[in-house]
Amino acid sequence: MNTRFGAAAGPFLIWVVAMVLILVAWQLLVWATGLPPYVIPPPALAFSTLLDNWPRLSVLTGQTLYETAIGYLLGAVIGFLLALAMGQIRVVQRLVMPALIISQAVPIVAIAAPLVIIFGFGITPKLIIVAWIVFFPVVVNVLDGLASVDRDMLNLARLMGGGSLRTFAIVKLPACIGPLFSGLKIGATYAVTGAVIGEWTASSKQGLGTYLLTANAQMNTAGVYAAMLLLTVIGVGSFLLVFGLEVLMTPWRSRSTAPAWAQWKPSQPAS
Amino acid sequence: MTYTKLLSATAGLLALATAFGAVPASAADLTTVRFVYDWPSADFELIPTLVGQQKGFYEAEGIKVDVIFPPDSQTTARLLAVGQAEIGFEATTDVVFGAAQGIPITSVGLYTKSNNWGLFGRPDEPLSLDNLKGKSIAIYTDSWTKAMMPFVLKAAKLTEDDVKLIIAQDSDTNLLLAGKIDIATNTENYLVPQVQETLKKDPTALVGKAAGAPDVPVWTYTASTDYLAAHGDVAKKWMRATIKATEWAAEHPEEAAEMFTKAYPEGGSLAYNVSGWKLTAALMKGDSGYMMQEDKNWLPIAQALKDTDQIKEVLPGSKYYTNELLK
Repeated sequence: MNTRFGAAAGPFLIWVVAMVLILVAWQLLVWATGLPPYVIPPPALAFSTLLDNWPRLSVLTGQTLYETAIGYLLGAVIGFLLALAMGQIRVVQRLVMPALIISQAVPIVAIAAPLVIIFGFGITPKLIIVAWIVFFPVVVNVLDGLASVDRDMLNLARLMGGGSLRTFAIVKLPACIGPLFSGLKIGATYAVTGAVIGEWTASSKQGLGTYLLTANAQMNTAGVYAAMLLLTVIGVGSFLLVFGLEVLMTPWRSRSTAPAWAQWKPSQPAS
Repeated sequence: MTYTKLLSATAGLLALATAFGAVPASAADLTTVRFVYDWPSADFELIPTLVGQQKGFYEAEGIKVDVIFPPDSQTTARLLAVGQAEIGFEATTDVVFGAAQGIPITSVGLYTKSNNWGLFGRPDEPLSLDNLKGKSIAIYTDSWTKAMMPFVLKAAKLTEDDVKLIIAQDSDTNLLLAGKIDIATNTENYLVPQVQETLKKDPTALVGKAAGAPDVPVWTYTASTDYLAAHGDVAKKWMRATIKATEWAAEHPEEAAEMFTKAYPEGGSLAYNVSGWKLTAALMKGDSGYMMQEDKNWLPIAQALKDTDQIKEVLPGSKYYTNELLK
């Protein structure tokens, strides 16, 4: 029991240590540069500003989190399905890939304004921007996963009479789960940036992105950093959530034996 | 000619040129003043500075002005405070916020004297405080808009819930022209030329007092108090030259705008710059002359920010401005 707790607590503790180190580095930077709080506030001031404004910031965090989560799911699902289609049908891959690469080469801020003009000030343009950022790493990683399926496994499946659909479900799909999570983790950290860009362009509802601008306009640097802390929490939290899902869904990547609950034990024959 | 002879000849020519002052000694003697603008790119409000540079007004005072464009529209005060620039140009609300946050900057001379901010509608679409209810109005996240909107809503006898406020980060003119909003909030000198250029018509407008807003200045020149204490003499030279340049540019608007358009072609067409600069220049002198400022210019702005809970208290006028450089 203690060992299992220790194994689970290990990565968490490492994260806590990493966070503390970042805060220490931040404080040291403030001390070393001697810059005033209106340029770089010390961590304590940023945290106290966050707490003082929590009633307002919690509402804004909810809005940004909502945009991030929905846009992320949208991008992940579209990316995964697109990658599957591209992996299965070569013509689709050849046709779509250049467009995908071009789509990522265009700065997202450049398309944000036209999106608002086309779709208005509601949540739609924000979701599109978040999905736009998320779907590409998912597509690329899943495609890589599909391309690296063991040829021998495919041949074996065919020899054993597996049709293309069954081969896909039993051999190809499991092979791309690992790369899928790699794409999902990258997307999880970037998604919140997409939500902020969406809010910055034009919005009928305020979120952390618009708060950040307002605080900056008021030269409330501590407020800017408080919003940045919350955005960081969303980004890191999203990553950890996907990481947790990955550990749960791909147990073979982190352990060599199945967990006890999943182990099949044949019933003892009656003597 | 051998290599040695060539070297000797070159050295001789250089010595001769230096002796007779052909090498521009003045360039080395000039004191550099870094002027940080209020916006990440150039526009026609930079005309006085450019005229000062190109017509030699700064050089005549023994200074050389380097223009710096900040990373965003809210960084100017902080760049001044940490000594990354000497003179700044920014919205008057920035000075009030700076004072509230303890940033050691002060206004050294008003750029414009009256409020040309307001509400703008598409050409031929009626716009009045009586028909604002239910309209979608684009607002910026800047402090100026936040300070002015309550005045508009109060004059229209409305609350924020009676209108649909759209938060815009970039230009709201495009949203207005695309029919995505009913009303844009902006300053007249920027929005009107853009609409004129695009539609060849004037937008409908409620500007300044007509929009219910107080008649307060929008832009000002600033400096850090530390810099003024240490280099007030240089700042005074900058001020003298800038006033001369402003007077010249106001008297020769077409020529000044043409000069700007050539120097900053990305800053808009000549027609846009002429129109924008003429609208700007008309606001600059006021009753008290260029740059001069008084409590009545500043205290209403601070009060407006206090009334909208953006600052905690209104400070004495001396905390916001000084006329020392004009003496």
